[in-house]
This record gives sequence, C-alpha cells and structure tokens, in this order.
Amino acid sequence: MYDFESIHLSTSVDDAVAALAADPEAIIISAGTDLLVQIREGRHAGCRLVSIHNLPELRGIRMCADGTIEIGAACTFREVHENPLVARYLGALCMAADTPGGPQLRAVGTIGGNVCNGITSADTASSVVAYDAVMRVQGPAGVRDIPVSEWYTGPGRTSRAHDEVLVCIRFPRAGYEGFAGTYCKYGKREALEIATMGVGCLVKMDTDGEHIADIRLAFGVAGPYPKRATATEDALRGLTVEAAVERVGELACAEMNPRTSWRASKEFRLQLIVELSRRLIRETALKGGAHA
Amino acid sequence: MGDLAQEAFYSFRHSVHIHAEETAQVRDNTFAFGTCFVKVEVDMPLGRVKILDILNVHDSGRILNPATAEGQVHGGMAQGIGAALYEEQLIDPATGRLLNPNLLDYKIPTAMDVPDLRCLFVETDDPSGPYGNKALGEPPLMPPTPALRNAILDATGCAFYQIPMTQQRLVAKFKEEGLI
Repeated sequence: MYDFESIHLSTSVDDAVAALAADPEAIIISAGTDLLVQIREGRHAGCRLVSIHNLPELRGIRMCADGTIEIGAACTFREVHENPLVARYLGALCMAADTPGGPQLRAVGTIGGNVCNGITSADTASSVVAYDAVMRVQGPAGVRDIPVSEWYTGPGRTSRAHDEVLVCIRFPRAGYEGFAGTYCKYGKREALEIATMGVGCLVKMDTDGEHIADIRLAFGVAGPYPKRATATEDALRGLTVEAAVERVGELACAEMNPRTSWRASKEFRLQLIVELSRRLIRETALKGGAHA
Repeated sequence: MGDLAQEAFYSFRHSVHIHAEETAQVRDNTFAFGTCFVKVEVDMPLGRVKILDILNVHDSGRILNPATAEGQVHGGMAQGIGAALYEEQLIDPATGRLLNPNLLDYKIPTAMDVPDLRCLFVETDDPSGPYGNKALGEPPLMPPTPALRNAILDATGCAFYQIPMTQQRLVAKFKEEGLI
C-alpha cells in the first residue's frame, strides 16, 4: 500500500541532517499527511524516508527575550491555532491554522510541512509570508536563517537544501507588532478542502482611527507560490480605510498573476482577489481599531 | 415489538434475530408525491449560496418505519444539495480523461456544507401498497436540486440551466448580467 524502501527514525536534528547528507535521494517525513498521500498514489515509489517525527527540538511555541515568536516546525495546526501567543500576536496565522482539512488532519499535520512543501495553496503559508517570518534551518554547516521572502523559489520548491531540516519559523517583533490580522480561506466547500484562494491581511491603524498606517496583503493560489502584493501595499499605506477598499481590487489584480486551470478560471480568481481583499481590509481595519 | 426485538438480538446467551417474511406483488403503480422548500442567501460577489432552511415534504402513503424513512429523506436531500451546488465530473477536452477522479476534487458536500435537513410526511393510506405504503426510495432526491435552482432565481433573478450551480458559474453569470 505504501511503497517505500526504508525509514530512518532520527534521534535528533543532527542525526536527521547526517542521514539526509548521506543519502541525496532520501525524503523527510514528519506527520506525513502530504507525503503519505503522494506515496500511496505511486509517487516516490521505493523511496527512503528520514523521519523527524517526535523530535523535541522541533516542538514548542515560545517568545524570545527580544519579542521574536518561535514556532517549532513540528507544531501541529491545532497547537498553533490554540496557542495564546499566536492568538494574541499572530491573528492571521491563528485563523489560518484552523482551516486545513478537518480536525483529524489538524491534530497531526505540521506547520513545518505546510511551508516546506512549497505549495501555493498551503493555508498557513500566506500568513507566514504576511508576517515577514524567518525560516530557521539546520544543515551540515550549522544553522541559517532564511527570510520568507527568499523561501519560495517556484511552485513546490523552496530554498531549503536537501540536507537541511526546518527547525522553526521565527516571527520577529517588527513583523507583527501593532498589526491586526485576518486570514480567509476561500474554497468550494467548507471542510476537507484545498483553497481556491487564500488571503492574509494585516493592518496597523493610525491613532486617528481613519487612516491605515501600515498594511500587508499576501495571497495564496494567486501565483506559483504565496506572495505579498508589495506594490499594492505601498499604494494603500496612508489611505483611509474606504479609499483603500476602493483601490485595492484594481491594484491587486494588476500585481497578482492567477492562472486558469481546470479547478478555477483566471477571471473567477481575479474576482476573488478583488472581493476578498476588500472585505479583509475592512474587517482587519475594524479589528485594528478603525472607526466603524 | 421493537424492545423485544432489541432484547432478543443483543441477548448475551441466546441471541435471536426476530424476523418474518411476506411477499406482495404490486401490479398497479401509483404516484408518490413530494416537494422541497428552500430558503437561500446568495453572496453574489463571491458566488456563494448559503442554505438557510430546507424542508422536504413527502406523501409516500403509510410510513412504516419513521426513523429509516426520515434517514432516507435526509440522504436524498443531501445528495440533491450536492447535485445542485457541488458535484461535477470534470473531463479534459483534449484526452477525454476525468480530471477529478478522487474525493478531494470531486466535491461531495461535507457535514460543514449541509444545513439541518427538515422532513415531514403527509400520510395517506394507498390501496396499491400492501400496508398502504408507496415509494420513498428515489423521491427524496427529486425536488431539492430544482428547488435550489428556483431559490437562486428568486434571489438573484438569474436562471441557471446547468448543474452544478458552482461559485464560478454564479459569478460568471452575475458579471454577465451586470449584477456584480
């Protein structure tokens, strides 16, 4: 049923790194909620697996002294969603972590797997991008930090080297402080679904309650990988909420590049970009203290 | 009888399945009747249909087992919702192959998509059936799909002649009509 040749049960991250370095074709498996489905479909037949399941170094959510929030790569979606630090400071991610699949999936699937698969529709990915997070990986040469803006290199591809393990996702204070956040997953059905469009929106309101001091808008499924609409953000910064809602549609459509596939047409995706951006800016601005 | 049958079936020492057998040959078909009422809310810019209330009413003669009869109607209603809004075989026009031969991309509505399903019976005593009963196998699936279509027409003024009435089809039609 599952055609794999072997599984190495790593005893530590160092052990996993060594096993990966020794075998250029080995595949990392954590919870396996993506990988096992692929193996069962016949992909990666006869592969050799390096398991990083249950490594304590990859678990836990904590705030460092400088305010950086670290989320262990092996944290499940449910752990991320239910964590008080995430709820308080990373609102968009908190919402996003409650959307993949169904409750059973969220109890075992990991945020690390969700960003390492490099997939544009990954539910936590657009929030991670919006918060300007940093991916900490460990390889034979040691630990290195990759800003999320440099993480995705193409559809299904990341800048993680074969012999590197994602250890945690770091959210520096400057990336989240003062922002209200919202995530919307738009799908054809309400559960057991892969997003037709995912939008992560962060808004920091001016003290006057009218103008947007800062804004981040990240889209999943609007391009080959999750991306911020930075030119749109630049144009919206400083506008009133209503002015931003009015302008965002045209700006975001010009900047994002959804395609037509058998799952959804480009025209439909563009309509979703327009409408969801408007709604999320309004909703997030209200959360951030905008006058109603 | 129900209590007795349960007691006998689950008896620890002497389990017995109480059963009886009878044959009735019905030579005269008659009509079983049914209807579906549905209230929807259409989020037009996103093409989303939310079913606020849905009720099937059936005349299937005498209802012999209310629990299983209601279950049968719920099944038909859920399937009717699936047919109206979700389920579609997508074929690649170049190769003729099915693009979504799996339960992720072939959208059967989940528990989160199907609202509370209401069902009522109007009982009559029909001479064509051995116990006054009529058909209830297929009827539950018949009215919900057109009811949803008519509700969308009532709500938006847009008539659809193709199912499923997916979000993408709704948005395309609303745009064409200048409604969004």
